[in-house]
Amino acid sequence: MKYLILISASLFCFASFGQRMLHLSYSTAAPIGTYQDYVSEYSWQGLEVGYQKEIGKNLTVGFSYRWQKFYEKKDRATYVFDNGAITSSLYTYSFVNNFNATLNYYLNNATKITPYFSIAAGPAFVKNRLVIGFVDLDDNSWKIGLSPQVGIMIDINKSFAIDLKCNYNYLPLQYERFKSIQYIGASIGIVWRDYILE
Amino acid sequence: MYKAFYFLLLFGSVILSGCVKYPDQYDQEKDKDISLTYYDNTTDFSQYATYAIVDQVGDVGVEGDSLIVTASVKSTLILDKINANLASYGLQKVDSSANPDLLVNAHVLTLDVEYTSYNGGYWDMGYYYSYDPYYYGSPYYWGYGGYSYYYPYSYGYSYSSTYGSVLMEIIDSKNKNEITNQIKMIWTGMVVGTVNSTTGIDERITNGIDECFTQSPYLGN
Repeated sequence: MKYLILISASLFCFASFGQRMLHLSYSTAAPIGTYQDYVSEYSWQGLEVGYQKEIGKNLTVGFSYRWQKFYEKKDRATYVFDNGAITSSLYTYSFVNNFNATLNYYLNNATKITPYFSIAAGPAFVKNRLVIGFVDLDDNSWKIGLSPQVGIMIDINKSFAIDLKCNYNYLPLQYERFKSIQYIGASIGIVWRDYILE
Repeated sequence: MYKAFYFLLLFGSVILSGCVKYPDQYDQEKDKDISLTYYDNTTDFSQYATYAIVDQVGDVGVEGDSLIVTASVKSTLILDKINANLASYGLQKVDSSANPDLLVNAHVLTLDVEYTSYNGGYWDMGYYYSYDPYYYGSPYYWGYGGYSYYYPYSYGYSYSSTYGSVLMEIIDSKNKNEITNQIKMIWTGMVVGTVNSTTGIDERITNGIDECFTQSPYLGN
């Protein structure tokens, strides 16, 4: 929670200078690739908050914090390994916290709908939790994440817009059963800005 | 600027609403039970035809700094279940004096376990539950005398609780090493769970034993 308060305060301070944009999104995600072996259920719990500042025509840079929770309950089953097996219920969790730098390009558009492309990259704190019966195993680590994304902003008025976007997320890991966390995210949010991109 | 303030207020509300991290995981205590087996995967299990089993299941308890072993009140329940499973794999029970191919041990263990943290790489069960077949110093250890009880794996407990275990062992009595006077443990089965309540404990024990043997079809080769 300390980090979230600091991020909020930072965003508030940064918003006091120059042309800028704040955005807040509710995000969902679908695991893909070998990560599905760990968690296959769709994630309905996620959010993103970010700040952008214009550095050129239709081009902004910024930073964002993105949080996504993955969870799956697997019924009691037997898992076989080299010289034995275990039968248990299984619960798998991942908590992904991305701290990204972003580069965003907005297409020049005369309508109220503005498409854009972004690339986000930065450190990510990943907490994986595996509960086998009564045994609780945690693994926390910092990774570098990468996330290209596309989206559209739909103007509500001069200050606010609705933000719809879709992104691909990649985080390398070193587990035997999956080498990376990969998921497709979809989100809806709101953007506050102090000017209209032209 | 007040618009930004409201924006951040909304952000804070969403954050707080998302602070509940873990949903309730278990409906019943039995859902937390684990049935676990290890075996020596270099052993040809088809060579065995007979076994002898202990008369009583040892109940391992703690007295001071020492482990004490008494006869378990669950002896009949556990031994009957083990015998039924071994019979289903075509193994014949014989007296220990009839030179059996296999010796079967069983113990129960109940311990109060305090919270201990555990960190490290995870999920690769093959690593955490790795097990090298180990040897007893003497075939006479088939009884309980001098037997040092331990788990060949490492667990991280997330809270204080009382844990009960049924430990089953199968020892290769057919291929004794006469030079070193050693015999080899070739199979271990464990049923482990919390026993804060005794409700349904017999069913949990028998189900767990069945699961251990179901995991081990090679015993019937």
